[in-house]
Formats: sequence, C-alpha cells, structure tokens
Amino acid sequence: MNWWDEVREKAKDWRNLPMPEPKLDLENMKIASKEDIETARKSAEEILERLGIGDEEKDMLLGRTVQENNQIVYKAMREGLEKQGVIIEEMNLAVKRFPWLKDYFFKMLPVNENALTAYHTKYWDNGVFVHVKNNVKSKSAIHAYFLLNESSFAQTPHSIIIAEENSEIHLVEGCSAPSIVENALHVGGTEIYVGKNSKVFLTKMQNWPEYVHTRPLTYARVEKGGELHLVNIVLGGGRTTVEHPRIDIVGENAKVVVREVVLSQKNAIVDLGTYIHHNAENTSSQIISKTVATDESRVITRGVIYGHKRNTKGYFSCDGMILGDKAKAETYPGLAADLSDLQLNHEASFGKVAEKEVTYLRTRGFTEEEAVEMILKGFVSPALVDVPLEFRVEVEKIIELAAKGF
Amino acid sequence: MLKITNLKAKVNGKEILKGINLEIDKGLYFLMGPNGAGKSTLARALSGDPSLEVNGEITLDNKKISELGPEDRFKLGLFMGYQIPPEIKGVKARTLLEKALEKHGKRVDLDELAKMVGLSPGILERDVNVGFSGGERKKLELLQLLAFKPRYAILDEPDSGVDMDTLRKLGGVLNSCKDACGILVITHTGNLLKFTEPKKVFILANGRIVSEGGPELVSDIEERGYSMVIE
Repeated sequence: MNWWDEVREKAKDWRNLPMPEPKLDLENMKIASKEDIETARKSAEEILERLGIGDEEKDMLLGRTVQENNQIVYKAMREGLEKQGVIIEEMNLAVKRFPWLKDYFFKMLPVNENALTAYHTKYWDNGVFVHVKNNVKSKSAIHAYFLLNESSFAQTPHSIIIAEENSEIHLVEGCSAPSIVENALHVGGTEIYVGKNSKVFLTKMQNWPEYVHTRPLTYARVEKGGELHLVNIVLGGGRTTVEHPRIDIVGENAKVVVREVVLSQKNAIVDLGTYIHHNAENTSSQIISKTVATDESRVITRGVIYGHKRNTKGYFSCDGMILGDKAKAETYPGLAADLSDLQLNHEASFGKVAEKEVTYLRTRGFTEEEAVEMILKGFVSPALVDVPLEFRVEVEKIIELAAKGF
Repeated sequence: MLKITNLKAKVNGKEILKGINLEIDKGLYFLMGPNGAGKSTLARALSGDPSLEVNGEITLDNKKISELGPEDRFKLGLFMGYQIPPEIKGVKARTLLEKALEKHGKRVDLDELAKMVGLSPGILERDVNVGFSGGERKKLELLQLLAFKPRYAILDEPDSGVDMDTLRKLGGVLNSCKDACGILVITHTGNLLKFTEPKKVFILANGRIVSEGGPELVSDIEERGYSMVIE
C-alpha cells in the first residue's frame, strides 16, 4: 500500500466518531440534484452578468470546460514558477512526485478528532501542493487553484503549503462568483507550514451555492520570525459553513494576522472562528472579523487567542452588521492567558447600519441605497487591507448587490 | 426664497415644533433660542431627516420640497451643516467629498478649501470624523458649504466650542457666501457678530418663532437673557 493510502486507513472508523454541530449526514448527501445545479448555475450566471465578468472567465467559474489554450497558459506559468523555486502541483501527483511529502502530509490535521476530520482523511482527493524553496520570494499573487483545473472541483481536496526558510508566497484561492459543484458536501483540508523568517499570505474567497455544506479544515504552524497572513472571505455562506482554523505559533518573533469577512445570505448558517496558540515568546497575533448578515442568515463568529508564553501580544476584534429583521449574528471573541506577562485585548460590536449615518450621507446627495453601500464598504474595509485589488473590487461589487436588497 | 409655512415636527411622538413660519432669502440669518427650544429639530426637519414626523410646507424658490427625501432637497440646493456630524468608519473624508461632488457635477480643489477653513492637510485622508476634535468636525462641515455652493444652507451651531481663530475664519466664510446663498445660522451667542452681521435674527422658543429683529436683538438677549426678551 502506498504511504498516502496508509494515511487513509487510520481514519477507517470515521463513522464511530462524534459529529460536530450542525450535524451532517455524510453518507446521504454527496450529490446535489440536477435541478439544484441548474438553479445555482442560472443564478450564478445572473450574478456574473451583473458583475460584468467576461465569457471566458464565466465558463471557467461556472465549471464548464476550460478552453485548451488556457490550460497551455497555466502550464507555462507553472513551469515558470517552478524555475523560480515555487512548485505548484496537484496533490494526487505531488504525493507520487515527492516522497518526502510524507513528513508533512496529515501531520497537523488531527485525523481522528471527529467524524469530519476522519472522513476527510479517509476520502481526501486531490487538492493543491505548494512548495516554496529556501530564500525564494514570490511577491505577486498566484491563483493556485486556477492553475490546476482538476482540483477546483474535488469534494475533499487536501492542500499543503510549505514555505521554507526566508521565503515568501502570496496565494489566492477561489472567486466571488458561486462555485458550481455537484457535491452538496465539501470538506477540504489545508496544512500550512511557515518556515523560519518566511512569509505566507493566503487569501481565500468562498462562495458556495445554497445547497452546499462546507467544512474547511485548516491548520497552520509558524516558526521563528515567520509571518502568516490569512484572509478568509465568505460570500453567501452556502447552506452551512463551519470553519475553525487552528494556528500554532512555535517560534519566537513570529506573527499571525487573520482577517475574516462574512457576507451571509438567504438561510445560510455560518460559524467561523480562528484559534491561535502562542507557544513561543515575543509573538503577536491579530484577528479582525467583519460580518454582514442579510436575509434570514445566521452568523456566529468566534475564536480564541491563547497566550501560553511571555510577551504574547494578541488583538481580537469582531464586528457585525445586521441587515433587515430576520438575520441574526452572534460573536464570542475569546482570550486565554496562562501567565501574566502578556497583553491580550478584544473588542466587539454588533448592530444595524446606523440610521444617523445614512441620513447624514443622504443630506450629501446620496440615495439611501448608496449610503448603505458606502457604510458597508467602509465597515468591511479594515479586513481587506491585505487583499489583492481584484478581490477587493469583487467584494465591493457583492456589497453593492447586498445594498440593493439582493 | 426658502419659505416655511406652519411647520410642525414630532420627535419620538413628542411635538417639538408647533407651527413655524419663516422666510429667508439670500444673505445671512441667525436663529437663536434657549436650550430645548427646537432649533436643531428645525434644522433636521428642513434637511428631510426621515426619523422625524413632519407636517407643514417647505418651499425652495417656489418649489415644494417638504415631501422630498434629504438627497433630493440637497440636489435642489439645500445644505445642512450638522452640529455634531456622525463618524463613518472606513470611509475617507476625501472619498466621500469627491463622490458627492461628482454626483453633484461639481469640481473643486479640496486641499485649497481645507486651507481656507483651517483644516490641517492630511485630515482628508482620514475616515470621516473618526477621531476628529469638535472643531475639526465643524470645519469639515464648513468646508462642504464651500464645496457644494448651495442656494440655501442651515448651519447648526457652527460657532459653538470653537476657538477665536476658527470663529474669525467662520465669519470670513459666511461673508464670502452670503451674497450668493441664503444662510440660516443656528447659534447661542453673539460671538460671530465681531466678524459678520446677520440681516435678520429669529428667536425660537417652545417650538414657535416668538420674535424677530435686526442684529441688535442679539445684544439684547446677551444683556437680558431669553426669558426677558421672549416676554
């Protein structure tokens, strides 16, 4: 048996493990109906129309056949990156190509923690492998998932990012347009290794159709002097989205910045929260979370910054805006300290769009809709500072649609 | 002419304005009155604040505006300078002003105007009113009066809590605007009289205009207090 299939075997008893809330019936929800997909495709097309996205991109985003010449361009890009020292490979091939990957593969993800982690382990399929070699600094944003056509549509992709010492990488995943998938369940796993003095920027945009339940399993480890910048943008929220990344800071002077933006719609349930453990001295972390809950959606933002070592600095801010009378939002920002020689702070505010601000903007000639839009864009902007411009523009377009009572 | 006829307004069900009749033309006007008289409510009612329950008629150069929303009143040339304008997080002052000016079809040099009202350079790059001092907020409102060049303006206490230099600048701005614009300044004191002179002074008390007169009315109030003047 191959070493990567041996990993699957560890999770063979996944059915006997506890299922986290909200519970999913994993065995009976794998495939969405044709009608579901057709409805989602139509509404996605409408959105893409309104967003003004070109035909070629549209085909790609809707999961239609990708044109061959695109594949050639992507292949050339990957070859170019590989020459620089950045390897991007489909996980199904990477495990064969790099036997040493065994030491990183499912090493952070706790295989038998619950039914979801085990299910993912047992059934992982493809995903993206990114390897940045020593001293290689790649500063422009790489849409890794676009470069690998196959992996975008897997139900249980497992991705690994390894940034070796003194390296830098900017990765972008996803798109603002709804991803059309046949599977009502999406349980992806990601393991991120940030080496000494290296920097990893990962910006993720998720937009699942309303029949999808998604449970991304994200783990990261940051070594001495390393920096991890995670941006997670959840648009819509599918049917349910639960994501609780765990980040371990294991080396001194390391830094973690997490930014979350949730724009929930329809009857989505979104539960998002990052758990950061400071296991080394003189380290810092920051979580900035911004929620806009619309329609009948329900959002919970949570997370904990754990200070286990001296001179930990942590800052956690959780803000939410609720549009309409039917949406709900809750927040539970947590701080935990094992000792006194550290500094942890948090702030939280939840509420409706302030009437006073809307009126003020209207007295400056903006319509109510434009005013709400401007306030919402301003509200989420602190979470978008590290985000590539094209993503920021896409988020703003979605906000415009939300302000129109979309 | 900005004409207000029998204007009544309720705030949270309580009647604050009990039938205001008022006319202003080009030039400078003062509106004074004791605390709680309804001055700010009048300003809000004129601006079209939807949180008020308003009755009565407002016309702007013979066009009825009392049924219009704040944005349409603004488009027709009515500007409201807030006493305490709200903070808008994540929106830069410059962005807000540029967008509003663009919609309004006007182009101005914002940095030049900032200098004129005494705002330090760089403040336009900050979020609207976030962390601004009281004086800075008022100056940003005044800057907008200059930028939008309205036909009529209501300025709610632009002079309260500002230092002497700012007061002087405010007087200068009012003087430069008053030939082209009808300005109703809500004020508590006669401090502005050192730098400018109103055409007319209205006294508002208990939801009604109880007295009107020339600038001398201001010194009368300063000497004898509202209670004497109103009687």
